[in-house]
Amino acid sequence: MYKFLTKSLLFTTLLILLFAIYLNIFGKYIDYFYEKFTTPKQFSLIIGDSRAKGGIFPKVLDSCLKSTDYQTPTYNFSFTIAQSIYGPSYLEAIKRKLNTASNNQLFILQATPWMLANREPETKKESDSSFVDSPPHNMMNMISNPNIEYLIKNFDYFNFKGIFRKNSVLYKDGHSVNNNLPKNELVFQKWKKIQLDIFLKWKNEWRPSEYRMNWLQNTVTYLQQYGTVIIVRMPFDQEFLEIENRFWPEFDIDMEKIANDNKLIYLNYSTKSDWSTFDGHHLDKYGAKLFSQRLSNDIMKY
Amino acid sequence: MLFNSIEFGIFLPIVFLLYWFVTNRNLKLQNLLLLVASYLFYGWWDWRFLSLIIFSSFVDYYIGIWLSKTHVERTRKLLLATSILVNLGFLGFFKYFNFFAESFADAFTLLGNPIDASRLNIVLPVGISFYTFQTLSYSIDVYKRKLAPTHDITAFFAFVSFFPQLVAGPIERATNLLPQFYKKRNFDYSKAVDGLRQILWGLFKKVVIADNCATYANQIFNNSDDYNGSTLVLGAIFFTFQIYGDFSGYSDIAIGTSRLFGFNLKKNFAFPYFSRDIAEFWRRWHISLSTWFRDYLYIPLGGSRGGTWMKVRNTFIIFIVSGFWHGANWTFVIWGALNAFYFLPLLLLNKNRTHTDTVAQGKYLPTLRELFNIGITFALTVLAWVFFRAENIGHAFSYISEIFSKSIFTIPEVIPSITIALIGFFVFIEWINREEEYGLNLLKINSIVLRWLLYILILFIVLLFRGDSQGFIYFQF
Repeated sequence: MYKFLTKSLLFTTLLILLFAIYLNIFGKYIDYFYEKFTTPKQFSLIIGDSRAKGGIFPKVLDSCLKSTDYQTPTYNFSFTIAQSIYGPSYLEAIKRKLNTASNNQLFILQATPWMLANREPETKKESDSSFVDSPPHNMMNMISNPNIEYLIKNFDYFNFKGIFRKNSVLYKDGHSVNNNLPKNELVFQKWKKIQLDIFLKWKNEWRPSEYRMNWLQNTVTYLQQYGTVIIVRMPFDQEFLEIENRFWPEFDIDMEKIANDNKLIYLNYSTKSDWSTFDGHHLDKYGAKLFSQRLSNDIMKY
Repeated sequence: MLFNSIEFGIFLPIVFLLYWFVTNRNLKLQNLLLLVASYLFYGWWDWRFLSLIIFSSFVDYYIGIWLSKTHVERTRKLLLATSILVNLGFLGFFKYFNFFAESFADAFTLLGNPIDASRLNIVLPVGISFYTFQTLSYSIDVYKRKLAPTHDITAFFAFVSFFPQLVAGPIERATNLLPQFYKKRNFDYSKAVDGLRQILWGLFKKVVIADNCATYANQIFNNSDDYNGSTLVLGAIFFTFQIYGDFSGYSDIAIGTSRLFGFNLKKNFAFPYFSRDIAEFWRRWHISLSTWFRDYLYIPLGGSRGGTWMKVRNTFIIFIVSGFWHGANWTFVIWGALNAFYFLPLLLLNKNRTHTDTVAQGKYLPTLRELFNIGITFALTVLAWVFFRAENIGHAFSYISEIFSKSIFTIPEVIPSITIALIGFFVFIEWINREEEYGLNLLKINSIVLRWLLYILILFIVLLFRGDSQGFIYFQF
């Protein structure tokens, strides 16, 4: 028995070691979020969904903001629309990732009607229960490498085959780059149509939420203890804006109100569609770089 | 709890350590641990259905005891009938109620008297087809005095619910498994290592072969109207490997897990796709079910001892019942009947036991004739699987008619090269190990370093090429 246990232990250790090396080298290719839970606590967070995750490059921000007093480097703590929704659970995750040792941080909060929507059926009380089993909500440990908790809780998120095509890369500063760009206009239009259909579905099924607005306010209040908060509405093609406007006509007014109430800046790029995207609303790596520069410049003005 | 889940990866080592280090001095305690672990394993899916297993175990345990106490043949028959009624009653209700209700309604509609079928919203308890057959075998064997009834209630309950094979087999006979609960199990290093190796191979079959094939089989079967004949052939072949990888993978993990605890389960698959005729295929596919039907249905019906008519009748009965066991759908019945058609000529010409050895024994390659026979048998099997996988009989026929159209000579519209390469690798490994107990015998390699490298390589293949997670097909049976 002891021979069996010793050998099993040795084999398991070897396996874990190899797996840890594999994750360390290839982790950025095989999971959309894993790397976000392998870095230490961070200052100056970018909060948002996949548009912010791939659309705001911390390095570009840092190079522009280095002359300011903001605590850098910034860190992209955005996820995708499935997980990024303002509420108690996302705020708790932010608290677990945030390094509170500085009061001079910069927080960029992406605002979209979908991150502030009620996704529950009308009969159901609004809560975070439908997504608390996904990262970052189900993660207590946000800072270890390798992150065993993430492996156990979110193993099914991994796409281990990702190392072959390297379609998506998640960098250590939390931003991601999509290398799988449309090959021609036809493919682009096809992808855009898929996204538009998703937006239409949300428009029909979801509702603007007072509850989520309150939690955006709570998130702002919490983060303002540690620095400056900026609310940003990202750019995209105008067809998407039309759907969002039909879903929540007063959205910009509501954001302005939050900005005024909290003495913060609301930067609205939604009417500017001159940055390149790969599906109409996610900035591609070229558009993201330009947008990050523009955002930095605008932040510097204030 | 699924074998290919993180939960099971945590559950198994804990039970293993408790079994060999905490309860190893006391057999009763060890059996009790297995019982609790088995109920936890099953209850992880839905604890409410544990009551069925417990009730079924109680019934058969006490019927076994009563059978030993009475010598009045009528009472004994009554007791056996009770056991059969309870077990098949549960199975019939949970698995077949809606099927019969709908079939009756359809029949009345056909006769011009349409009636509404009253459907019940019944959840099929996982593994019910397996454990009811297992516990039934106990009552029948005690009735036939082939087995002494047990008075050890813990051992009996643990036998019925033994977690490695509880939900998808192999269906164990009481004569094989139950006595193993009476004897002290000693840890056997080689047996345990062999068990781990078999688990690894089972995992590869399930996660790499079955789950990858499932993606394409589902895509093609679910949209069969949109594809040409050659693509449909590929879809059927993918399903052929999916079901084999899925089910034999489960059996390998079950047998391997049992070996870790010192138990020997029956072999359930013996490289069936290398069979040279259908009779050989059925000696190598789902062996525990085939032998169950042979011993408890075919032989009591007279087997092949009677005249030609009796042989034909019994063959059809056993294959159709076997098909029906798989599910409450006419597609399974047709699948069973088709296999009976395949099998009958061999039986009637007395050629059903021509191939009882392993193909190309002791050689690297088969002869051309063997290869031809394997190819024909495989093709017939693939064709039968279309009925098994199809949504309904109409779907199966339209699928097959498109296969036998001109479009079979066109290039397939779906060619997943990685999955095809993985199947090729899988068939190669199985072929070189076809004379072994299971597909991954690395004992021929003397160097431990090389063996470990191969284990790691297979584990990384499992990790890198795992398909989209799918449930085990046989859970629904």
